[in-house]
Amino acid sequence: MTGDMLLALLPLLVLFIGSVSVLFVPERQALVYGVVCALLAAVLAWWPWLSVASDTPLVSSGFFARGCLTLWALLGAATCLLSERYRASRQFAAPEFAALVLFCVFGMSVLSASTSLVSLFLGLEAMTLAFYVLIAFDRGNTTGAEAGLKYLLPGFLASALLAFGIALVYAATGTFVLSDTVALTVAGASMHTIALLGWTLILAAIAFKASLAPFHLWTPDVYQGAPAPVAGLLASGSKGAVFALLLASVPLALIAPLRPLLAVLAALSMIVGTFAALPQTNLKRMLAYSSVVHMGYMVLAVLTGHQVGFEAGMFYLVSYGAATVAAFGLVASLSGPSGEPQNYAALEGLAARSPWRAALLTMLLLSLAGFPPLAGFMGKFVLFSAALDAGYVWLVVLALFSSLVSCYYYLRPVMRLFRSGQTAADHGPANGGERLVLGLCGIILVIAGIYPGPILRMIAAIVP
Amino acid sequence: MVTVLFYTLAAITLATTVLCLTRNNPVHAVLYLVQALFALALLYFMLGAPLLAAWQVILYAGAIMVLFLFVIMLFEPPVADKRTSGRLTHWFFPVMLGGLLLACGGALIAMDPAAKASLSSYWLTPRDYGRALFERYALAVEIISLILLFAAVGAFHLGRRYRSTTKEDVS
Repeated sequence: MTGDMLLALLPLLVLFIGSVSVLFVPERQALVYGVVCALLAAVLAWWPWLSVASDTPLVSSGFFARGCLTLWALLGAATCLLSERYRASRQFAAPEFAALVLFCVFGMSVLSASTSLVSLFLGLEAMTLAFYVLIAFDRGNTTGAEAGLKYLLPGFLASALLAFGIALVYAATGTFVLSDTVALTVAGASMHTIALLGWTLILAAIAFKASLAPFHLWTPDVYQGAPAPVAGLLASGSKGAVFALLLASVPLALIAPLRPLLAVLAALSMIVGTFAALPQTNLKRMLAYSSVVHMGYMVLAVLTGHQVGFEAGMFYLVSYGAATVAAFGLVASLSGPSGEPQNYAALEGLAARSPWRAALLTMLLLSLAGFPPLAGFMGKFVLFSAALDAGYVWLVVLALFSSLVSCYYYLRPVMRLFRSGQTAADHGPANGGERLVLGLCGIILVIAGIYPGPILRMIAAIVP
Repeated sequence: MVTVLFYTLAAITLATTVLCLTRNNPVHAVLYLVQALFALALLYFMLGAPLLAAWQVILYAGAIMVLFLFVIMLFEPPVADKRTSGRLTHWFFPVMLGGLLLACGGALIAMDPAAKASLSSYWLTPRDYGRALFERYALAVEIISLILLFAAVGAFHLGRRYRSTTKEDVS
């Protein structure tokens, strides 16, 4: 461990020290302390002296790793801000919550920065372990405990598959270094079949975490039961980290025999997710199935296998992440002591009661559906055109079809917003933190849709 | 000879693991798991990692499995079925698998009594092991320790008994 390596790890160290020290902060200040730590890590990731930092054997300190760390740290800060009022009426221990959110951000950052199969496994485990607890965090809510268990059991299975896959890949290639393992597999070593089997198992584990069909079955129940801010972090951050890894460090599309598998995962996710989302009347479950569809689109970016596709994928992740955090943030901000307004019926009359939040919900659902001029449209545009260039015409046609159908299930809750309200308001006005997060998400959705140039250039600068 | 030993041990590992998963009596399951871990330890030894083999026996088969047994005994003392406990078939599998395991261990010692001529092409000394662990993979060790720490934090939160006055405290 040299000084350069410690410098390279500085943002991660800040996250770690923050997550331990927040346990000693009083209940009232803990979440604010968590926000400060996450933002400090995000700023330190771009501190100029880091340009001299060297890579450690396990974690890269390149621009992409730092950009991802910034994104996850911002998501963590948003989660803490959104939980401030949400936890007040629930059995939330704020220090433990902030500590686990920071540790989750730590895990996601290690995962997306990993240059080795070892750090890939550890990052994924760190992130998942934090989510096991965060999902069941509300002790007074039995569906939360059920959701935690439903995430735990598939999670264990995915971890076992991942460990076994890593063991096979290591047996075939003799190295843990990600770029070498992929290159050796492409070159076709003597144990090519074993390596392919290993990669297939790793892909299955990743599909579990990213909830690609047919490994998506845990998703709706977990989203429904998890506290809304946690569900937002789970939907945007954990999946984003997994795909950031696939886009930057593990170009699975280079391994030719895996391409059909990826294409099948993408197609199944689009079809299953779309048709399962159609009859939903619960906002969180609908968002869960819609995330399956969106992750199917993200596989298109992985499939392209070239720089432009990866940039399009990162842009799509940003636009999807902003919309998802805002969606779950709205659910958190609209929930009172009696629970979250999950059903469409509970949203009736929202446009009259809280017009700003209704407008934001409308906007983000339209963005998810891909209406111009919002971020979702621009994301789909760059992503699908990159996939067309790569020659996946049938998948793009399927994706266009599924986004056409998606208008139905995204517009159903929107129509309920503007009906005359039958339900009494259970929630107060949004507090400062919620306004900040929701407003920022709204601004990103608009700017990324109307004027995506700066964001695209930033992404092009960090994608390796 | 080494090949025969490898496949015998691999078969024992698989058989005991399957038996562990299918037993109704949790104590029997844990005992089969102990056998599986012993067989794995011998496999590690044959692959040239004696330190790992020793840790496998001391930590997993020794400490962790004893903990398992204690927890099972604390929660649900299994009632021995008097009708079957005396039967020969009841004892056949454990005794046979255990005997095979002992025979494999004995064969390993007989082949290489001083553990000097390595059975494997590469022999991992404790020094190599320590260097790999605390130089190249030092960061991994740190991350694992963090994971354990936060597992404890999570278990503490989920297992904690909250006072009914929590709501007033917070609001």
